[in-house]
Amino acid sequence: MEKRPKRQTPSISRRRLLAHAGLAATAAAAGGAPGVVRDLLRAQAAAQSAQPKRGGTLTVSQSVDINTLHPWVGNLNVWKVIKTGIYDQLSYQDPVTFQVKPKLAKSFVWTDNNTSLVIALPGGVTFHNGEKLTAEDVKFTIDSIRDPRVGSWLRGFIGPIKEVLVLDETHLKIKTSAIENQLIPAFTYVDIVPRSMGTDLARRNPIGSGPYKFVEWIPNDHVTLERNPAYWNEARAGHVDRIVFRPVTELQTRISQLLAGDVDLVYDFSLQEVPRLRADKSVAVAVVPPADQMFVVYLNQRRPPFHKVEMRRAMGWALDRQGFIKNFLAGLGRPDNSPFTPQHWAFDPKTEDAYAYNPDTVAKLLEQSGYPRGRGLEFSFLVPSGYPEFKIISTLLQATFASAGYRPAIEEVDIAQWAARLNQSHDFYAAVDYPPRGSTDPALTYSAGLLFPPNPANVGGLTPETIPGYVDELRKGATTLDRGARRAAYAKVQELWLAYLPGPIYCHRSTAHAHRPHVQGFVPHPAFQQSFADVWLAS
Amino acid sequence: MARYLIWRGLSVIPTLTGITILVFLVTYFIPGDPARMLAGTEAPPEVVAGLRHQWGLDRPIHVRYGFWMANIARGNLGESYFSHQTVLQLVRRAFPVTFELAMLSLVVALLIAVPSGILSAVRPGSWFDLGATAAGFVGLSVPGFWLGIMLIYLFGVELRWLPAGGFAPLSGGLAQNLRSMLLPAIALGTFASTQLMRYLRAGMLDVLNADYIRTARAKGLAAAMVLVRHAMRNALIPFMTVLGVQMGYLLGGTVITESVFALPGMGRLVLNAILNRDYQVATGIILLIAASFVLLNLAVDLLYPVLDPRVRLGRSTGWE
Repeated sequence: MEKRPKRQTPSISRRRLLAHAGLAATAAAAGGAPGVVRDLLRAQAAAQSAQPKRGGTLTVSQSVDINTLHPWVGNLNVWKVIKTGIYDQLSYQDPVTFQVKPKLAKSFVWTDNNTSLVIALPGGVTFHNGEKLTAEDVKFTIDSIRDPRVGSWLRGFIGPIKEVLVLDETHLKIKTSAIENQLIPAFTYVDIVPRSMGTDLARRNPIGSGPYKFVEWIPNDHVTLERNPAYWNEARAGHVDRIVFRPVTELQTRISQLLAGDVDLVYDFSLQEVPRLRADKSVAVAVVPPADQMFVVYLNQRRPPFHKVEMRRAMGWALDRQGFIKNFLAGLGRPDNSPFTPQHWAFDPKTEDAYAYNPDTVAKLLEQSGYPRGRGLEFSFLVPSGYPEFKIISTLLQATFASAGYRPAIEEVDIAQWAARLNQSHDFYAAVDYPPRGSTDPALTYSAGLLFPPNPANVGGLTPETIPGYVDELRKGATTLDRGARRAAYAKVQELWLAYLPGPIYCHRSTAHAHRPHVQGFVPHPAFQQSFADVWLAS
Repeated sequence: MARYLIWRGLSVIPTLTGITILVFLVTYFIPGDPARMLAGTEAPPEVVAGLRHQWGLDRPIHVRYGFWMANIARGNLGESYFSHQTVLQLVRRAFPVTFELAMLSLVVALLIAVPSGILSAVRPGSWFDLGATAAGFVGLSVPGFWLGIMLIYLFGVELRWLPAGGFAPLSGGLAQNLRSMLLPAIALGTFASTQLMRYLRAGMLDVLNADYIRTARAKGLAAAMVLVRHAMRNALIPFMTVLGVQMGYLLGGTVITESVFALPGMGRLVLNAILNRDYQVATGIILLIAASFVLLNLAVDLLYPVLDPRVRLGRSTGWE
């Protein structure tokens, strides 16, 4: 008679217990549905409870192909997912607690009367080409990103840096004019490259010091990485031997490939597919609580009608957030008026009910703006094709304004034209988008991206003078380490934002991923800075 | 005959020149900016301006066209702003996939179209003819992406007979390669077969009612002989024209099939290039596709003398 295997007594360490508790609190505070909590707990438990195995090939399906191999220039999420494993970054955002922690750096210390950030690096780190990683390489990387000729979108992220000094092989000093809280979270995006590579990195195969080495990129077919056996940090070393990323543009094909077992993991797919996949026993769904990506509408204040605050407020009252989340995000979202959700320390509870769905208020605000029953009103929504959620929100907003007497047009263009009209010609009235970074430090949330002034990519055309006191509060929050003072400053920032409403924030959305049951240890990252080092294959 | 061949050959030059101008102008005037697409919406303006300068996008249109044509004359179709691979490198990798797909689709299309087209023409108004015509209309009406997804779901997910998309290169074995190409070939070939079948049926019907066929039958030739030697050969002339056009479509129009089945072919390459405003790749590939279209039609026209003695003997065919 076959002996039944002995049942393992489940044990849990204090560290794991705390992680589970923190995870549950995180998801619950995020307003996550029970399914989200269950998914996260399952993923976290899988990552920590079983004994990881080494070996095998993990095949990951992504929605589009990467468009460059340049670590500092390419900004697609699909590239972030891949390159996070190739390179080391000085810091990382914990995918469960969302806290920013040191990664390559051993420590960050503000010195010199809080005008310098001293970074300590570990010794014995080598790049994939065998070169030793030193403070010179980190300086080279940061200086290159600051150079406008390199063309890095991260230039603004590290804008407050004045100078980078190498103290010794493992220490460097970053000079600023004050404490700059955006820097350490910004370093999560900065991939450290050997200085011998130069800056023309798009023409070369990536060389990093991460747990995975780059093998090849066949455009429109795959990117292959292989495990770095000499990775310096054993605790973060990879388990699977190879990772193959395949771009599959058609959503139904991606899901079919997963169901057929042709791929192991489908990274980031439409939330509307979540209920269907959750019902399928052959796959596991991992959902990130709604916290990072937020649906907003950019309003062009350079031209009528959104130069009037009443019209901007009308836009704030025009969306049925609950209906949108329930019907089009499979319930995997959270209505919000702030870039932050309640789990975030900077969240201001007063923002909760600042704006909600109210067509009567929209009608009244149109009247106050000088457009009674929409007479004389002219605007449209600019929508990029291939982003159905943007079109749905635009359509819902269109319906609300139609009920108030004016039916704005929806102009659908391709993504390149959309980006050019938003950023370059500013030829738009209103455009829906889902900018990221709601889960990171507010100093970074407010210093980068399209929504928040003052920054060079401020698409709405809002000047710092438009909202008196707003920039001062931003600086207060960005330049002190006192959490209480920061919380007060950012509460004021949120209050001023909602009073002037340069761009309504409607809700946060989850992100969803699905994998075959043999994929273990996968914990999705809210900002696509995905680590696959913990992932292993059970069979 | 020689005059016809020379005239037909030379007509390709102005056509191709016109195509280069058209392709360049179309890509030039499409709103959008590759520098913004690469750097992203969050990049500061000076960063985008720097990339535009690096790539020569801030130069006047005639200078850019001149550079492009000079490079083409040297056999250099350009380099991707994004991947920094040359157009020829990208095409060398993608074209075999599309070519294989087009060929296999053509085989599927011919396997369906030729027997059904001939049988429909031989027995017009029969149940088979009505059924084939109805099936043809259905085949024309069914969207390619829907058929593709249904095939994937049935054979990939439910039955697990074939892979649910993706490409297996020939280097990994012929059997694997064919398994990965079968469903896309069926999806693409089914659509192509409907048009081919209708043309072949119409052509055969015309020929079967011609006097020389009646004469051949009156001479006592066997029905199969009449069909194969006399009817089919003449019906093939208009069919070949359509086949050439279809081949062009199959080579250049596989975007949807390649996207649905995740094949790294020319269709996806050019679609991504257009969406990213990767002008060099987009113009280079569109030019190649247009040139292959023009040359295929030229090849078909040059085949006429082989199939039609009137062309070979220099008699009027309506061309001269």
